Amino acid sequence: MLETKEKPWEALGPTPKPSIRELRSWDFRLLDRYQPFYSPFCDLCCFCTFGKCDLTRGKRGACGIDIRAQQGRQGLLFATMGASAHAAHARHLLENAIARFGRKLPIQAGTQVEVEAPITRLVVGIKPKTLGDLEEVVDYIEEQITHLLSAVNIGQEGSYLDFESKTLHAGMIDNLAMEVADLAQISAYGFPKGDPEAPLIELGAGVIDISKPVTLSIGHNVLPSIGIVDYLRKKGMIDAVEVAGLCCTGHDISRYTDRAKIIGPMSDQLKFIRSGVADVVIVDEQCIRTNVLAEAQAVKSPVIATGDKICYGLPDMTEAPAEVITQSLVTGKHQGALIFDPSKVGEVAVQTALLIAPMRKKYKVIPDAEAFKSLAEKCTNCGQCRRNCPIDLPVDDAVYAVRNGNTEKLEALHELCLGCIRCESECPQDIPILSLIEKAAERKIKLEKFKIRAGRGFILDTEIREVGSPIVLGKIPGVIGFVGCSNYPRGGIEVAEMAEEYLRRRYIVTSSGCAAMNLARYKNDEGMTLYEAYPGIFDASGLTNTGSCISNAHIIGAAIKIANIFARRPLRANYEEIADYILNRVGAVAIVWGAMSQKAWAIATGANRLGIPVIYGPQGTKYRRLYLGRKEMREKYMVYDARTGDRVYIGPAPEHLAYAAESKEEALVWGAKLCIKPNDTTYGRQIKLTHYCELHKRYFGRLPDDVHLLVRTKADVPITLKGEISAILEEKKWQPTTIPDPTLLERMIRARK
Amino acid sequence: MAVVTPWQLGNIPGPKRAMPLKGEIAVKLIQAAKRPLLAIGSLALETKVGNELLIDLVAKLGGDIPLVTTAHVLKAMLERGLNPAAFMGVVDLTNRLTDQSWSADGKGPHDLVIFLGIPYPLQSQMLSTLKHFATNLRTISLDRFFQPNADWSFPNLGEEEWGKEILKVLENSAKK
Repeated sequence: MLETKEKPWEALGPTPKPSIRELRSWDFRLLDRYQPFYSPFCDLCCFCTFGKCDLTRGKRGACGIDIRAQQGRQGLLFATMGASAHAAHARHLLENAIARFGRKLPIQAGTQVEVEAPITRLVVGIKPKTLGDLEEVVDYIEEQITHLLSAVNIGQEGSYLDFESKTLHAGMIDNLAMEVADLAQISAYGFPKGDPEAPLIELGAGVIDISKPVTLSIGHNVLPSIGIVDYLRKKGMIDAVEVAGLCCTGHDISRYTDRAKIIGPMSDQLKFIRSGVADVVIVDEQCIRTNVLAEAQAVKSPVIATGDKICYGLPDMTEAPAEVITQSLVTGKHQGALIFDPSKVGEVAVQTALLIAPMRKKYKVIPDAEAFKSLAEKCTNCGQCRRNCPIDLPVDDAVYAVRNGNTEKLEALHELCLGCIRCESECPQDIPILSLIEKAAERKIKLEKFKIRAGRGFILDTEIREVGSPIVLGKIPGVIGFVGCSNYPRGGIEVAEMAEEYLRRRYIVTSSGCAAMNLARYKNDEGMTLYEAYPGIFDASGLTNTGSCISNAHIIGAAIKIANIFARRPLRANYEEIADYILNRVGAVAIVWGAMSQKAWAIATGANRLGIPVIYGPQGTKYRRLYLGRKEMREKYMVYDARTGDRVYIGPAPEHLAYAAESKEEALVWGAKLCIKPNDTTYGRQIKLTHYCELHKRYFGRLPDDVHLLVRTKADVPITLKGEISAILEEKKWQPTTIPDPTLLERMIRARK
Repeated sequence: MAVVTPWQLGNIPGPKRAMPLKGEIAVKLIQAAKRPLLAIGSLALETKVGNELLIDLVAKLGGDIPLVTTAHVLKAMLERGLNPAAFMGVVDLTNRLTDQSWSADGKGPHDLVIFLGIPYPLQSQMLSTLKHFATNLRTISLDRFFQPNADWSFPNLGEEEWGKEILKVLENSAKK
């Protein structure tokens, strides 16, 4: 165990800066109930020169590894990749903020947030007061990532369960890194501090004023975009240029200025670049298509790369005068430049946009009507495009239908398409399929004008005090977080539909990242987006957008703060107890419907370690591991009653820790079910069962067959369903059980009989 | 036997790949099985065989093979007057099928599971789990796209051809 330099502000808990082994026993408790379920993507291991080794059906590789351990190993690798992306992001933000504002700049959380860094307090055991204090946290994160990654090397770990424990550790480290990154940027750049009425921001391709020069920032690291806004402000030109952001940079630039506009989630990257609207493209880091340079080149938009993660082979022009770089980009001497100084990026991006816009005249590669038809008519309906589509969209039919004058099928693909252009890669006729889709949807795209609430960051302590009791007692049926990427099986509309269902049912709905953008992209009958129709509060029927991916830390932090602020559980370096509390009492579920990146995997796995169940969309099975319970295994759903030490059956609550649903309807039912917690009061359980049963009846056609496992006493039965459920209880020979003070930790038992 | 490429071209799992299957062979395999199980997924609610929805055909011709519905298919099945042996998410089903003592109807472990109407990428992942961790169990995919992780799968078929093959299977399996 590492020593901490922190002066006492709360008694130091048992696990400050835990190493891999210190929370292993907690992980094993989770993994005993929620066992890893593996779906190998590949039967081989090709990690070393012994291989390729076939691990099918019990065979072991040359190093001795079997398929389970190899899946666990890959899961650890992915989680470490995700954690390292957030950690490097955090380090970079922190270094820049310190360089600009100094180590002593206070952590700024506003007036209604005292627990400013719940994950940091919980894991590291410090209460950061300044930017400088966060350096200690990043040091710890980087050290842990090194140890975790080393376990992936050949000849290290061999147990799948221990790989899972390490993956859970990587998830926790990822969550910590996210918190540091967002704290640093909120404090340094004046982002909203938990404001439920954070401004509404314009979102969508249709919100850009194409009469102006446009800068498009893509990625997650807001610093270069801040450079752009600062330069425009300095020059009094804020109205002269459209500052647009795509993916999480879009979120964060709109937290810096409400004048910025968000294009949309990462699936919009190529769609928007090909539209030619962006006069200059600025890339920072993470989730950026690796062929942005070529795509931007095709529409004569120069690219500015701004960080050491993405250099694209471009010349490093950081030291060159801004005018020289600008000229080289405008004249086409260089198609792009690498500039590591965010301020210089700002000047070059703006000046380039201003100078090149009249020359480019929004040059685009979306074909005109004539070219559209002739390109589509090259299609032989061979079907290779569909066979290369990650979500099996009927691309072939849509393109081929154009020769019969039907463009509706192509238009319909616009909202479903992931923008990955694997279809184009495979097309033997070299048809620019995505461009055809965008042409077919041209009119629709112009109408894509939405509103999203700017990322508010923190959930306020005052809000936690208000909702802590109703959440823990079950009166608010749950907190549902829509998070993650845009790899949706059937378009982003499903996310908005699910969110609205929960909002109507008085769940607290919170969001971040691409998912938060997709929630904004649909309007109700009154023409309002969900952000306009529902308040931005963290309360029943409230919809919060915390911000970018790293702002997921606030959603996870809210669960921690419920344990700490409402229930007064000690927070400092007290991971197991807090996770035990959340698992057993806080009805919070994350829905990662479009899961894609390694970061999303790390974030979700970190939530899992804290006892927060995650529901992936069907594509999430490609992560290759879920954590599934078996509700028929009664012995797996036993806890201690902290009051007596007795072992008590709690029912499948929650049944799974990481699940994947096949359809939106299935996910909706599971979201309600996984909010059910052993500690619910009878009134709370009635409410939760009402929602679970109603959704089950609506989408599955009848009451659930496991309702008897979730009724502890007759007082749990919803009054409106009393007749039906009582009949089930009788048929199943149901017997009442105790409502315990539930815990998985022996040390939490207060008295033994 | 001709090599069949996976429907999704990059979905190449490893050396062990499914055998391509014709309808009549599928019937024989099902008839030879002691404890087959038919899993019907969400695409059955929108896939057509001729003018009929796949779900209607299954309800009409499903016969006496124990049926398990995944996703939200239960409702449609109940509306058609059929009460499946079980309903659960496909990941729950697959997880349970790796347990040699489990059965959907409580009548003993299954030796064959047939997947129909489960979205391609998801089905591929579930079949992979069963390939590795349910070695007692044989798997068939009856959708019209080749699933390399199954033991047997229909090859990549056109709609009309697939319609004929699936009808063969559903009609004849009912006569078991």
